[in-house]
Amino acid sequence: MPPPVLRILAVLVASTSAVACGGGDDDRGGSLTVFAASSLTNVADSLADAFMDSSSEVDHLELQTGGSDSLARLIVDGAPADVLLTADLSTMDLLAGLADDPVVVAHNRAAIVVPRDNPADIESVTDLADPTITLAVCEPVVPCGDAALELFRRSGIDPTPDTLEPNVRSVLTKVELGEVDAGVVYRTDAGRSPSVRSLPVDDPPRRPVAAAAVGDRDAAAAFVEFLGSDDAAAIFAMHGFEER
Amino acid sequence: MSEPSAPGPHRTRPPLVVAIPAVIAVLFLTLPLIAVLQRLPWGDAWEILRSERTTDALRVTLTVVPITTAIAVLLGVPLGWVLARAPIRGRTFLRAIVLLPMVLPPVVGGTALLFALGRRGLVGQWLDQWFGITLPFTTAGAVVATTFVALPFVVITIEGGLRAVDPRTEEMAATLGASPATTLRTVTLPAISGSLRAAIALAAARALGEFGATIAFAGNKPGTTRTLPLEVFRALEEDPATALVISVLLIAVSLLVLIALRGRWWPQ
Repeated sequence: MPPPVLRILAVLVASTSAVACGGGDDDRGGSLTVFAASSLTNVADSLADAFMDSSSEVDHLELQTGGSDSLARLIVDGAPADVLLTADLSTMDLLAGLADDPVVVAHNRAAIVVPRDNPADIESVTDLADPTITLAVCEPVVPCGDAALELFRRSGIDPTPDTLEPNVRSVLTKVELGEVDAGVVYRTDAGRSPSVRSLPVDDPPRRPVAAAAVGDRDAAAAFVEFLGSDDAAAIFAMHGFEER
Repeated sequence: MSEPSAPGPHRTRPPLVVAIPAVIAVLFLTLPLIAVLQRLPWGDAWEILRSERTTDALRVTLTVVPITTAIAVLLGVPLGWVLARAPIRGRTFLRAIVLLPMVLPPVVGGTALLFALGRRGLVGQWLDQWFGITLPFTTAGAVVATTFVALPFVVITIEGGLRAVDPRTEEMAATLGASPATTLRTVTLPAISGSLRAAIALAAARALGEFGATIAFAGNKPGTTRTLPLEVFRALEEDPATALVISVLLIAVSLLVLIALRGRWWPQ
């Protein structure tokens, strides 16, 4: 009964050759693949729509979100991204040689959020030092984790988080569910969620949002250029980001 | 007494239609393992294994896995018995429900556990209010998450093992005057000892590699809930050499566990 075997082999061969040819440059036509930090999930959607409205070349934008650091590593490992958007500048160093020089397109700030009913009565940064509260922050290697550490350092506290989350969205989820008493996220995340409240913080750590074109597609460069435009600045501002 | 053994070795030279896909399967399954070994930084391996991060994660794993395995066996064997022997209606439905964690993405299972046993969860809020017990972000929570994922493996293995035991041997023991408890202890359990070993090994192996449910329910705290797989996940992002060394450690341990099954993956 050879036919089924041949079919299986054909499928295997086809799939490997598809992988092998995956790097082809312009077979992606009007589609652009954008990797964006978790904290940019919503604004990236709006930016993508606005960009496609203004561009005749790009009619489809594939958005993948995750921790800045893991997205950058995916690209280093050969993931087919055209543009990377990160929540800081230093992560871009990982792409040395693979991407154009990054451009700062907006700024975000760290924010402390508590569940709306604030079960642990946390009113200021220093309350986070209380070891009896449960606290969620990002892994230090993720930009939001680094921002949290800077926030603690500036406030002169050294709390022990109860969980180091892989990205800012999972920190927010833990606070939204009330499973932790507080979490450190970005101001833009804090503003989006009705079930959390942010605490006033004096001059919280500021982090750049950076964009870089990976590879040499014109459409990628056009998207990065668009991100630096006044139109894009207005969209960033609408989502609570600060100007570049 | 041992499980009814398989008919003696009956070996046939496989036809090509079997042999070729089988070889492809072996290559497909082993290639990634070989690739990991090939990338392993052998020179630094010992240093990495002795680092504080690794030993912390190892300690958490060595706490979580045995406790998970014990709980999974204590709860799973009785449930396997019920599914195999008890005169209950809706058996198929019950089996489907309790085996669901095997197919559910573990991170969904972990989030569902938050809804159920988290501080604000369906049941968890009462645990918190009445007993002051909160499970998320504790080692106990990591045990809960891994047990959720490992338990069904015990249930399905034990049920299969019991189905292979001729119920007449149990009936005979009863006729000879043995109480149900005595029958269970002296006839049934010895008859499924192979399945029990397999169940223990499967539960332990599954608990060892558990990631998604743990990080979603128990979080990721060094020395408390950060198990070896969570440490691998972190290390992949900032320190791939460590990720590789720990992965090889996990592979080695799992291999030992699976070899300990000695061909008893499925009871005959």
